[in-house]
Amino acid sequence: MTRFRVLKTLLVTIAIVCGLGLLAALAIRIYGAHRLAEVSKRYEREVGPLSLEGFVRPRIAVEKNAVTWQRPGALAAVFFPRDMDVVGRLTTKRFTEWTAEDTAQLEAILERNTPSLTLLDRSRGMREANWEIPYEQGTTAKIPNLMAAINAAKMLNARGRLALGRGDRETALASGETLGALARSHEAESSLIMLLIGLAIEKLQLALVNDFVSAPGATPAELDRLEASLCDADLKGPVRSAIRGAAAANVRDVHAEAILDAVHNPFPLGLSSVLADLVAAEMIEASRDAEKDVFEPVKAPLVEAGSENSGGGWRARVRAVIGQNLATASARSTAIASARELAHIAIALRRESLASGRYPENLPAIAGIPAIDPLTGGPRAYVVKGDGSAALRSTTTAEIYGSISPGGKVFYDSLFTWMLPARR
Amino acid sequence: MNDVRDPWAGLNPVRPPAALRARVLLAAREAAARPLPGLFEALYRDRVLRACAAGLAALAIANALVASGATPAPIARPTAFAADDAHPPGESGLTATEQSDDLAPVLGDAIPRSRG
Repeated sequence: MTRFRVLKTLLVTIAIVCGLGLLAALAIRIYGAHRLAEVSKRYEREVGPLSLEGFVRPRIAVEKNAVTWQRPGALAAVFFPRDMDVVGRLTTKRFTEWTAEDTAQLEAILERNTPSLTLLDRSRGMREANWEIPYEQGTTAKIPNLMAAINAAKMLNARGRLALGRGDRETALASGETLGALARSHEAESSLIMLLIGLAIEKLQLALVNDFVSAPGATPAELDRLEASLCDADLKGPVRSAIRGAAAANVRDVHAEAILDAVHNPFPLGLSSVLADLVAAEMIEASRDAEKDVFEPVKAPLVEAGSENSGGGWRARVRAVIGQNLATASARSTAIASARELAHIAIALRRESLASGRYPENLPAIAGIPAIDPLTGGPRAYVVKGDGSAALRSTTTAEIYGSISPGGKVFYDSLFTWMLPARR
Repeated sequence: MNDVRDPWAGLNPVRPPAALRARVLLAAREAAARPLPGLFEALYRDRVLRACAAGLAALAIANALVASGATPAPIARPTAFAADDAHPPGESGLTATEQSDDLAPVLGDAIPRSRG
């Protein structure tokens, strides 16, 4: 009987400990579900629907869908080893800085990729696009091959610069138009990563447009085509949609390990599933906070992600990771919006110069373009030089843009400094 | 000398019926002949332990129910098709998370993590 009593006492003790653990887990789960419901309601009241249903886009006719050509075009690109090193390097340099070897290598790459480029060019001027992403699958949704799209965009940028350097203005224009369509189709999706890829593609397009506008010899018809190829002026909508899409997907899949990995899973094994709802609630709160700061000017270099919260609890860390990701995405959008507006103004100035023979003394008011640079929150710098040329630029710095976008410094001049030639 | 009479005089203890004695002894003999339950069987039969097990099972089920309540319900896809009933070929691609490592040089390390 003694053995029985000892064993019974042991088992009862274990049962009490396990019971208390399960009771605590149950309480945390119930509290988490309650808090998640509470912050979800608040998000929907203050921001918008937190359901993935709203992000599923209606299909569009295949002949009107730019993706019909862009998807196979991007996937058809064939790159040998080191090809992308060459193409990537050339996208960061003006044609005048290219060597003969660079040019020869690029020509070979372009020749190999004639089928890919032909397909991509078929999307020129197409304004409707739908990648048919199954948003309802949340974070498990298969999305297009984004690296293929980026590689295709780099190739288009390099082709445009090569053509412009050789005086083949039609091919240069076509490259800009194809890049515009490719950027537009990515920016139209409510997926944060696709928006960011769209912004990266648009960066390549704007760099090419800058080369074109800065080169002498542009005609009004060419300027019209360039302007039409630019993405629509307002980026706030796509950024907000992407942030909401990310929040909805994260909430749907918060119990998936991948989501917890995304916030550097701060919990010991087993606890993560108990705390999942609380993590989701923090993600929603971080998204709600990020909405308020969308398109805020960036007046100083961005600091390292959430370093101020590195010693904080798990809630602070979750908020820091999500909040910083969204803030950086917002900053990139603001930077591209700034460069896009500079492109619109530069084209208008060139058009004015062609019409009147000189640049206006002050920046003209252009419909749809605010007088304030969204990136700096201040006015843009504009000066007409004695030789009849003009310079238009944002007052942001290479350091600030470098902190917003990886490798951004090499694109700083291409995006934010527009040198307009004198009319000859 | 105390000559008070004993008040209990004449009273004797009640004797159980003789048949009862035989029955009790028989039952005791039968009980002694039965083998004692094993340790595990005794634990299994113990009411306190049974109550503990039932409580644990109830808590585990409650946890599972609360957790399963968070599983998202499937969302129906819109059934609108293009006029010609055709659409671009599907992509056998990867999720954003699966592509994030490759895209890190383009997008930076932290960004792909928060995609939707």
